[in-house]
Amino acid sequence: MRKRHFGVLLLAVSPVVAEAAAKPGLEGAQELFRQNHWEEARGQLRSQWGVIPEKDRPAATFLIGRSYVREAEFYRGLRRFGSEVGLAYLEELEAAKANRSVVWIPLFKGLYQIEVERNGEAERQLLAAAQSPLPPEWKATARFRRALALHRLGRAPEAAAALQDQAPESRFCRLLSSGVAEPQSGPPREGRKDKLLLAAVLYRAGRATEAEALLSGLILDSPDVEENADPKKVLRFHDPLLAVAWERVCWERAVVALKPLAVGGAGIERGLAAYYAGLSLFHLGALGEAATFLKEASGSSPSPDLEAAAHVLLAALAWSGHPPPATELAPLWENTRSEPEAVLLWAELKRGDVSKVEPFASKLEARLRDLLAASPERPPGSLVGKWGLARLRQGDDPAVLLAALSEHRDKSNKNKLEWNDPLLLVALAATSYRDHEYPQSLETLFELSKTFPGLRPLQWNLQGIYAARQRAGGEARISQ
Amino acid sequence: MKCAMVAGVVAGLLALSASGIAGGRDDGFPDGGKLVYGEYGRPATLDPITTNDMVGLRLTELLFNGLVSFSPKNEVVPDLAEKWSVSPDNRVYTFTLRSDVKWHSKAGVGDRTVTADDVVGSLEVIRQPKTLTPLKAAYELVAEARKLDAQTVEITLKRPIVNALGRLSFKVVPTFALKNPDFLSRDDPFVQNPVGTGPFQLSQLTDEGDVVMEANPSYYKGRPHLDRVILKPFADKNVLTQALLFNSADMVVEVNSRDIAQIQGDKRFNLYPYNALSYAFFGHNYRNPHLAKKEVRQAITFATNRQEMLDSFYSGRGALISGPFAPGSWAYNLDVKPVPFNPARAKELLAQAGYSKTGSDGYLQTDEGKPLQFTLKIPIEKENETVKRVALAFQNYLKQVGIKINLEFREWQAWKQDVFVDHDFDMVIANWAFDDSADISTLFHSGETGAWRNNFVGYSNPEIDAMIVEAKTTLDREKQRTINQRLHALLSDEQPYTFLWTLTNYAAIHKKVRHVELHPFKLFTFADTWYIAKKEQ
Repeated sequence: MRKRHFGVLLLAVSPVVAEAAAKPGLEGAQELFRQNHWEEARGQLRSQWGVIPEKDRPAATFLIGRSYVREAEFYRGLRRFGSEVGLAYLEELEAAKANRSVVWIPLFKGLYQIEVERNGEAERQLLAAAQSPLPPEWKATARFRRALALHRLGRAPEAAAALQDQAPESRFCRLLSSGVAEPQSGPPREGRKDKLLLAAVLYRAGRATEAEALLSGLILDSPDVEENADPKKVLRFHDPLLAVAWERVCWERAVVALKPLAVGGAGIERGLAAYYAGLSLFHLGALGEAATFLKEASGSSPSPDLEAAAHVLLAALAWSGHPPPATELAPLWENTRSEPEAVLLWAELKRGDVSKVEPFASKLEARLRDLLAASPERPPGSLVGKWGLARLRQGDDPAVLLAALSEHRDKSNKNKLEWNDPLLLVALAATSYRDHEYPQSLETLFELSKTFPGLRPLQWNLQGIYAARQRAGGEARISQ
Repeated sequence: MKCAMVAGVVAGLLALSASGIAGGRDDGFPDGGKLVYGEYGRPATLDPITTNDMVGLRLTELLFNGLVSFSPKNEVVPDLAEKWSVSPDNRVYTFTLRSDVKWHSKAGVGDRTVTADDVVGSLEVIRQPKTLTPLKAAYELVAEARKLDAQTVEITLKRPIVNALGRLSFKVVPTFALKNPDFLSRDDPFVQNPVGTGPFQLSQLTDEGDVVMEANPSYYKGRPHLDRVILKPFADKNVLTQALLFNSADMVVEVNSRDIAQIQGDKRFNLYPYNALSYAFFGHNYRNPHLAKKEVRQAITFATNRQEMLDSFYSGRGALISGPFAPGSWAYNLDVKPVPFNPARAKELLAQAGYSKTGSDGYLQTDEGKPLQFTLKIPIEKENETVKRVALAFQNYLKQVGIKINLEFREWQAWKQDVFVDHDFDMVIANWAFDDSADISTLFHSGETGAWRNNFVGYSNPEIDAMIVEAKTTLDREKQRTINQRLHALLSDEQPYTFLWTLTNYAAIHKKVRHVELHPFKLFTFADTWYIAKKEQ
């Protein structure tokens, strides 16, 4: 492992002061990782790399990569929750007479509609927005994002025509729609959005060092638009594409950290690194490269759960673009159904053609419903979190789901990372939101925001929904 | 004037058909059993008008109803009013009362049902200057309330407001049963022997201070399932948990933070998150000329290591706050960070305020050559070890910057008398709890400084007053949010309080109590549907 990789892995955007690990070196970093202080774990390893014994460096490298995977999964869960909330907030704004003249609402509504896969509505909304009295750069945003919606609607030629522009946002949308990374040459622009989107493109183009330079000092929490025509009323709008880009950056960081270990490592770390590198590449849409690493992982038996997960991912790659044949689907399901991570991946992939294959779809639903109850041991918080988010997507009763998730929460340390997995907390916050328990959701996000940047858009939007929907009479009471 | 019929009519009709006649419920759940719930401290009064603390609020939720109530999803639903209409200008609300709601059967009450006179009378009692109630500010918005007929009440607001229906959810009292039907004072027997319409009616006050309530067989939604609900006051927070664990109580309203883990591990109980919109604070009395100086109040906050106190005495089970809202509130300004612990900065501010000479005792001196000292009044029943530790730590922090703090522990009712009526204090420590409205007007508006009003610190700032009024009266929710968040920033700078923390709050309930749903603020709103299985009664 060459040291220059660690310069690339600097995460400059976290606002948190690192908690001191109880122990130095790898052991201390592992403790920080277990406490869900991922950036601090990486920081400890980086700063003490020179004194980490050679024999421990593969494990240290894996820990760095694994922490980025955890972070990417966290931001993935958060992004989806944030998209739902963002759209709901804009719908509340739109419904209020007082906001009829706010030109930003239709645009941002369209941007969020794409993120919740309401592409048809988004396309129409953004077409209108591109013709409305917005500043030129935002009209361009409307055009680029409409192109993304068109692509997802299967209207690729129209989409491609609209994405000929060389601006970072256009390039990023091309990356999302076609997988092609074409970073611009020349100096980057100053804007936060452009820097982040360009960084994501640079990463995909294999130019990680340049990407990290753009990310240095970036503030994720500020709004993209602040509308204060009335000084007593400030509206803030946040572009959801930044959350998409940020998640991609996390996956890319994982790939950069894990690839060398997956290729040149040995022992158990190699197989694990191969799996997580393959998983990260899968989520980045780099399907060919993903398949290479996942084959390596499935052949090296990193763990039964991950081996099963690798098989599911490989099958999904093989089936891309066509319905899975029942002769392949059934045996793969039987071979993987006992592994929770694999089942969650099935649920993630259970869309479109896969979901129509019976009796698979019903079996998956039943297995997913009972996934935690069937586990002989107390499942890890991250698994519970992923399960909760999957059940929420299935439309489970949020009150019932909240009760189930709460069983896995350390209630006395209710929102503390050291005792509750961040993904579990995201699932709890999302489920509380669905159950109209807005204070509970905001409380959890407040704690998470102390460690993880980029939550402010979600917090702002959720506060707005709560403000719009609350009906209370205005009581305050004292207690001792 | 044409009146717009609103969804309340439909909701009202649905509620009518679902509730059935008074008597049993048809939900299939059994009647019987009792629920004993433990509170830290006892209510001074048992009526919904004079009570001003959370213990009283929770109790009156069991005994009384309002025109409207709230569903588990916090939607406004019919209660004593079966339907309502709103005028096009959103100022006139016309409520049609149910005709089948009876007052609790008590001597002198007979078999009376709720009428428009009771509703109008209740509002007039609240607004009467002689009635000392924290509700006054909430109902200044009412221009007029009048009876149209025996079952119809028209309430006219001075102006349209957001959440008008929620604000008209005051509990209705039988003014005919008051010593004086025009106002309610704390010496009125009614406040200790209330008559309501709620699912439970007062049966007995024991010598130990237990408030025993029996099921109201004539409750309009149907007799509640539980036979009896008993409020058991405890003077020692440690004993509260023991009472739960050793079956002297079935429920604890607010579990001591250090006991949450133990109760979570005990399969007999369920834990329910409760009261997220509450926070602790040190309040500074502006009537003290030293505390009237902003630099002094700011210095006090800079000198206090609140994170250390939260970590040491509550095991970190909570979050520091930076202003007058809890982090779970929609009004919380996320851009405003808590004042950092910085004793050096505290000393600078005190010097700026004119306190730079130190006496031989180590304390800063006032112009009169006396130590700069304040009395901190602490409400306490018999024992609250945690709050004692907080007070002692606070005393020590301030000693480090040259301020002397004298600690005075007072029983809760006596503390309230000192603070709310006599304003006889320098500083206090206490907690506020709020509903979803984020309405802090009663805490900081200069018009709320009278007896039993919530602005007991005597804070007065015309700019803040104007913002508070605008936040309450605007119909634009985003404007309301902007104003509240600006209020947060300004009050964080002004420090009328040293804002402390929101704690992790749970209610614990024995699992034998089924079908439990808690209102996040009022707690017992849905207690009429709770039940205990026959074999566990």
